[in-house]
Amino acid sequence: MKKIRYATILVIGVLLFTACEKFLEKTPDATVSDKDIFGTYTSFQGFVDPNYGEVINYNTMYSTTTMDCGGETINNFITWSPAYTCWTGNYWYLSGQDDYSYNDMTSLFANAKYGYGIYYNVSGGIWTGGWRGIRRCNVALQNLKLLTEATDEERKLIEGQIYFFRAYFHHQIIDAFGGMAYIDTVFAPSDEMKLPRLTYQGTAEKIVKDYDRAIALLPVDWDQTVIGGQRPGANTGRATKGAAMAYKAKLLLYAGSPLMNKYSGNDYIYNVEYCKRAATAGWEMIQLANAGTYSLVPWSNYSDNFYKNDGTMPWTKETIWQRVSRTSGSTDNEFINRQMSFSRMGGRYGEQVNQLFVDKFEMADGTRYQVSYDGDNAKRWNLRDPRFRKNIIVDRDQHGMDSRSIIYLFAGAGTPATDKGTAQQISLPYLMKKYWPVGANGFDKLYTQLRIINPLMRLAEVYLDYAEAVTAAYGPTGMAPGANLTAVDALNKVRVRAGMPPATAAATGYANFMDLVRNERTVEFCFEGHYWYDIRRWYIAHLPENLQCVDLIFDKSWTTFNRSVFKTKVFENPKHYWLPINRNQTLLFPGMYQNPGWQ
Amino acid sequence: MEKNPIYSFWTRKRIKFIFLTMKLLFVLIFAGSMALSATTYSQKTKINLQIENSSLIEILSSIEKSSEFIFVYNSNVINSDEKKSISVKGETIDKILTLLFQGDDISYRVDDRQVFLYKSEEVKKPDVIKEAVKSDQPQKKKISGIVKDIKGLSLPGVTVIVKGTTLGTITNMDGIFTLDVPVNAQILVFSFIGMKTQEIQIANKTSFAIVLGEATVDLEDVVVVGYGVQKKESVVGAITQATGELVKSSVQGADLGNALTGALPGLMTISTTGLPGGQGEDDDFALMYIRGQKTWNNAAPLVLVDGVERPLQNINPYEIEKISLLKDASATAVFGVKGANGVILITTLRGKEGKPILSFDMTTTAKTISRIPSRLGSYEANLMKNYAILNEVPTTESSWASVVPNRWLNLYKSQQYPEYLPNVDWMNEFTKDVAWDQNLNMTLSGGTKVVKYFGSLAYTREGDILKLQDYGQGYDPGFSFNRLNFRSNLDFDITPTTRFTVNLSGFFSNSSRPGGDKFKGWPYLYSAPPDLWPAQYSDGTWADNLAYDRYSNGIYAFNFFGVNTSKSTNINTDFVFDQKLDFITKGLSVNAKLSYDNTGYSTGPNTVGYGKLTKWIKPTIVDDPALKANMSESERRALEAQYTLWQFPPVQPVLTGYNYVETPGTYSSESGTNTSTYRSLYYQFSVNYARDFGKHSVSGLGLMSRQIQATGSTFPEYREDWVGRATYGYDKRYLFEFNGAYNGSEKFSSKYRFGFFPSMALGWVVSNEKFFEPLRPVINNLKFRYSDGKVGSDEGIKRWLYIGDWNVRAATTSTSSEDVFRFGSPTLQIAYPLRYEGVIPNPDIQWETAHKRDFGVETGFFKNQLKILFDYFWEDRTNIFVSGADRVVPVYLGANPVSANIGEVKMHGWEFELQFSRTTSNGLTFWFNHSWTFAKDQIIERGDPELKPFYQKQAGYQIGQPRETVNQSTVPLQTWNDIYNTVTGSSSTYKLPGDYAVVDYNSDGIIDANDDIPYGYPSRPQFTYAPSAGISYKNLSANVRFYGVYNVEGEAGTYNGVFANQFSIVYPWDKERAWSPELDNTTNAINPGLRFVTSSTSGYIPTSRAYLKLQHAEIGYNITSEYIKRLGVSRLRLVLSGDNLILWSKMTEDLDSDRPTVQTNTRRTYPKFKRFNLGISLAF
Repeated sequence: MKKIRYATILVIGVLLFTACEKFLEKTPDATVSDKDIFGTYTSFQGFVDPNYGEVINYNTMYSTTTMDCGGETINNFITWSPAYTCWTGNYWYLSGQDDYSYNDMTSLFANAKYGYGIYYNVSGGIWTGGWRGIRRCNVALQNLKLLTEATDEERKLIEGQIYFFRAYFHHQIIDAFGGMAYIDTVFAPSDEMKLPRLTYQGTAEKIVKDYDRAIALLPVDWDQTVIGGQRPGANTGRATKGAAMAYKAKLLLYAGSPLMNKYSGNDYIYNVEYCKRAATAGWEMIQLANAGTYSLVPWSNYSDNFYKNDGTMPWTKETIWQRVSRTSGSTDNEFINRQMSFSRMGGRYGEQVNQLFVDKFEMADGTRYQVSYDGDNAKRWNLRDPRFRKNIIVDRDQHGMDSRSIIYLFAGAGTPATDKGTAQQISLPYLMKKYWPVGANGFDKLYTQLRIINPLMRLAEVYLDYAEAVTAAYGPTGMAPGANLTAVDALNKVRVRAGMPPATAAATGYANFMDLVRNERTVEFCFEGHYWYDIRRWYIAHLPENLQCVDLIFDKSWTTFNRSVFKTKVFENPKHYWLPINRNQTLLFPGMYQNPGWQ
Repeated sequence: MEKNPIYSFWTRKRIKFIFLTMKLLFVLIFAGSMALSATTYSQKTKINLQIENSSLIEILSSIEKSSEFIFVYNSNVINSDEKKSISVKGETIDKILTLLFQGDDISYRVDDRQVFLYKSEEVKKPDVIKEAVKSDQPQKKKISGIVKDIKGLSLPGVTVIVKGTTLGTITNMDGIFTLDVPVNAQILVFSFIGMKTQEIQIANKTSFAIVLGEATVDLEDVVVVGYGVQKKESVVGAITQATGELVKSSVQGADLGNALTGALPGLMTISTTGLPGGQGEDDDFALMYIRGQKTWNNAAPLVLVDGVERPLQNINPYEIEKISLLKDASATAVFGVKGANGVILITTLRGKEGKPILSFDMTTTAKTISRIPSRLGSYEANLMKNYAILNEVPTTESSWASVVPNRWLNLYKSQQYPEYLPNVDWMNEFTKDVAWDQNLNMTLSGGTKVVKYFGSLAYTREGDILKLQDYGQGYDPGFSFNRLNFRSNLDFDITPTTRFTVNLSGFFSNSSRPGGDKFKGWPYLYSAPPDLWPAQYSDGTWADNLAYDRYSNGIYAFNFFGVNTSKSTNINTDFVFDQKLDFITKGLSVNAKLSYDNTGYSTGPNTVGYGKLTKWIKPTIVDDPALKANMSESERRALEAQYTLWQFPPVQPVLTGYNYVETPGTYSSESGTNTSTYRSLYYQFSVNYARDFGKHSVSGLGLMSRQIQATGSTFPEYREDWVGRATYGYDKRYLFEFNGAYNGSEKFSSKYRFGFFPSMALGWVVSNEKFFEPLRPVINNLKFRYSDGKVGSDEGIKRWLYIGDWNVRAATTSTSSEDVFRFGSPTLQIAYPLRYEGVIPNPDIQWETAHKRDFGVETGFFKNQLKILFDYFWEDRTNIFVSGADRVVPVYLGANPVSANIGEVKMHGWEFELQFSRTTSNGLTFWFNHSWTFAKDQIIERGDPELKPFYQKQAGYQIGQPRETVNQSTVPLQTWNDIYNTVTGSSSTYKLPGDYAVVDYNSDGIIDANDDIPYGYPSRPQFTYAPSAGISYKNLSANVRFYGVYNVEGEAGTYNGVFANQFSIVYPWDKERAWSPELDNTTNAINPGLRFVTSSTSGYIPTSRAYLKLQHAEIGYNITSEYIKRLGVSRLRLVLSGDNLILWSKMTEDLDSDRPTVQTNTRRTYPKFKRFNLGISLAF
């Protein structure tokens, strides 16, 4: 009996005095130290690399989003898509204000749900992904001192990429949202983060400084570095000196453009000072290209800039910057399905091209297209700028080997039935072709080796940025100090490559040479995501001629051609010149004020 | 057999396993019953007795304690003053009693374990027992009767006494008694050990049939509280209790949560689905809140089954003895942090000493869809479409092109071309009229002094209401759910002071659902337009047109894309050891418990379906002059070809275009995929003390518990709690209780890891006071109680938020890896493995604290025939965790905002409960209960952005407060004049008569999101009420239960109009409510005018979701014929019942209760049901 009593007391005693704290002192695996992450070149590079994932591929980001927000295309069917809201003017939908943020339909500009995509190759959009990338850069800079197991060259490569991305993300944000504070520190959760917005030019000045640092640090060609030389070609796609230089020039041109100039306290006119700096920066970049680093691809290989159908990456001598990839053929085909192909061809939706945008493609002789040519079977779709049929499909085009891949875009009944009509979601008789290789359809099935890319910076743009900056600063026949390339020459480099006759400063058919530069830019970069930025930048987006979507209605036998306004865009001045900032942000503190027109 | 996924559940391995388990179960059960079958107990049992100078009563009770014998005697048989001594070793009961009663005039009879004691002279006349009635008693009458237990068995030895006298008798071996009573005698009292004492009015009757209920099932006496039971009268916490019987009768489908609706005052359930199995991709088990929602983090109550945290949904209702709902701080304190949202305690049935009782319950349920949106037919819908176009033409000329010509309208009406211009009632096409559920249950229970056992086996099957079937694709794609539950509860009394308990329980379930796209199937069920296509064309081809996107043929989508199955296997085991330590000090005991739970969940095997070739014939074919009435088959086909769009199955290994060859369904491997296993190890040690010292009663509890649980390969979760409880009662009048919990959570840094949360409660039983005595005939019970305490919670808080970390991704060579950004030209090459910054740490993450108070009054009138209970409670929650995802910080942080404990919510409410029950002298019992609860929360702080206008801040409003633009009036604007005179929205381009004028709340001249103001109620009702009533007479019983809610509105969302996406979907209520001069709905309209391509302007149109429903009605009958008894059946009961039968509400006709989304085309939940059950219950 006594034994039991003692035993019981003992058990209770043990229970009561068992140390309890340790039981809960458990965390999974040993945590990784800062030194583990930032100590070596390989690991540090692995920390920097997710920045490449925050870069937006304008046209393949998310299923129903194209960057064709300027009115060049429409899909009247996918009315729930962010791209369609460019027609209805509800930019909240683009910038992810809380009312319109969906997990499954993320906007190109902002994925308001932060958590999404941190670990995956899904960008948070220009806004969310950009700020996330900026933090990553600042964290990396803060820890640069820990990078001990690396050569001097390797440290420069890392540092150069960090500065490039910090500049690039700010640059992307302010182009869409307007001037912002420049973030160059790592904030702690409890820090007061109430930095006020700067003007566009105010932010740009800080961005330029980072681009300059990147230019000084980054290599022209990664294969020429020790680490890159070990695996030639393996670093293609990484930030280079050229990319930093091209973007610096582009940023200065933007800063000097009418809209940005206005939002920096001036007027809706080109800022000559910035254009001069843009011209100089552009000339520096052109010199780098002339040294053999970059060149325009011949017209016959033009499409290599946009797609390859043999399993290799579309990356040419002309390419300066684009989103790196992990994509395989099937996802690229999905992109075609969504954006270009329609159900009979094995796709889904298909964006169609506005007749007014089609009109911007000149005739082959360099004259402008006239509405009176609409009924002229010889001129309407033929005898045009070669870039027209390269980029756009018209009625009766066969887009594949299989005879069933002929596309019918007439209106009304006929045999075989037309593809134009609500059931096929085709409302307008023009389809985008730029990224759609012949044969990548449900009949020929040539898409397993498909690689599609929307280039973000190619040499053609360097020339046209230069041409625009020089025209604004020094006139069509002027040039940057020390340069030997006039605006006209720069323009013609791009124009002649496409097989068009060279233009002159007289700019026949245009109000002035600047209009010609702008038209050339519009045509050369059609469907590459430039147009919406450009017409805003030039402060012409609100003009009536840029608001309509026009349909061309014709019968099967091409006897009558009638234009009809299909849709009118909502674009209020100044409201739609800038995207609205997430309302929650603007309600946090007065310095983060909302863009005009959005409350 | 292999092909059918339903059967594939029964793989050989699994069947073997199930059989093994069943075997084990029965071995355990029969081990118990073997011990029982020792029939000659009285001869076998040898007793040791060593008692000196004690009263007979004391001696008898010590025999009772050391054996299973029970003595039955009338109090006048034994002289309590007489002292005796006895000393025997290993003697039989006969011997002992003979010794004991030597020289007394006491005789005895031993019947198994019952020993009846009589006065010797009575034995001589066993049938007519004399009593000590005074001889001068003037008038007497003879009464007689029979006493049985609830199973209908005669009860011998029941004491029958005339109340207030010593006059009485006991029943004989057949349960029969006769008694001479004074004519003026009023009440007979029947009492028997282990049975409920019953009082019966004598009145003029002379013959009585009495049924005594078992005392142990009497809820009045004992309440299950945390880690123990308490006498009801001494409970000071807010606790509600329901019986297993009530739960059993309320079962609706496999999810037990649905059965609790309205059953427990204070518990609110929100049920959303009729899905077989209750839970699936978009369907969830019934939501439960105790006393409302007080936090935006997990507000679900803690559910404990036999003291261990376990999910409630898959419990077999036939295993339940009681469900207790613990609501205030005092009651939940001992559960510490997990109990902050209230606790549901489920106690399972255990064996009781007695013969083995084997019972069977079978229920078959016919279920029909409760409410689902019907749609107008093609003709009417298209006519309305024309009205809509007519209405909007002034602003949108282009929609004129969509006008449906009269000829088409007539064709829709005449259905001349049902394939081109169809008129399909999709409800009919997609659903069956009735689906069936089955429920089988078998239990065996009983026990001896040493072993008590309870075992059950139950099978539940839920059927599918959708018309999903094998059309030749080789599999049945339907929804299904099958579950097998088992339980074995064993109690071993190893010594008189030591009890060892083993519980083994669990279930196996399998379910299936179509592999087809849920975004295609569900919208179709709820909102497919009638004029799209026939589901299947006459040539056998299924209709579809991928181009529509919004409406793919849902029937096709659900039938031809395979079927997914999933399985769950759950086994729970408890080992409990109880040791009384009276030898140390009386009333002390220790208890140890070890539980191990294991739930495996696996998906698969799945059948993969690739769809079929589908087509769509353009309706414009009817305008083709070539279409004639009597065309030959081939001519017609040729014409159709011109208008036919063929569709290839959207996703398959290789898109095969026109060369499409149908891929037969393929079957994935038998072994399940994505298996995840939940494991939980729980152990606790406790010390209990309970003792009465005269008028003082004292009790104490000290308990320590730990839990380690993990799902799949996650790092296990650890938890540790130390709790204590002390109670003191004085004279059953003054009650005091103190609880303290010292809780540990691994979620916090060492600074906050352990928190101490005290609570106390006071009770005053006024009715036990002397001064109250005169009132007692009217108010027999009056009790006040008050509790006040703190409870901590770490629910909804992620682990390790206090530590920062880095995420390191492994290098990978796979080309499809999402984790590596690839560089390289001409081909992509492997890049460096990626590293990410992990969660930004917040070292101050800590406990969410609830300060709860509760004031309660309990009353009983007229011997508890009428009881009224009222509780007022209020709570203040502070330090509420706000997840980073819900916080807003400047975007400059560049990362997910960091979580923090910054929230605060206040809540108050009350509960009112009325119970009335009365049994008339002729055995008619009728009862009426009503409970009515109110709970409302208010956010005090939730991290609102500083510059937000007050009306858009969360603070000051309920959790989930909807915010809407509101209309200026309740009727749309009637004329253009009205339109010109109102503030427009951001655009006035498309404004028309029939639109609403909305309120420009901030008066800035434009309507935008800033004009959204708090309006209406959250989708969680503030008030719930549950009246119920029943009646029983002899073998017949019937009851009805209602459940109602109010102050509740649907989820936020403005009216999005008719003809969404230009489809002709028109619901009957659209026709009734829409503004339309053509339909003569103008000044009486509720919804804005009809539109076709544009949308009308309107703010929120109030949509109350208040309802009252007939939750349950049943009628039951006990068949008690002799014939059945001869078969050995002690009980045979038939029950006919219905659930969710009638709904009274202003909701549109498609909504059944609480929560489906208003927008029918985004609804993806399984429809809810009305149920009709036929049950039979048998016991041997």
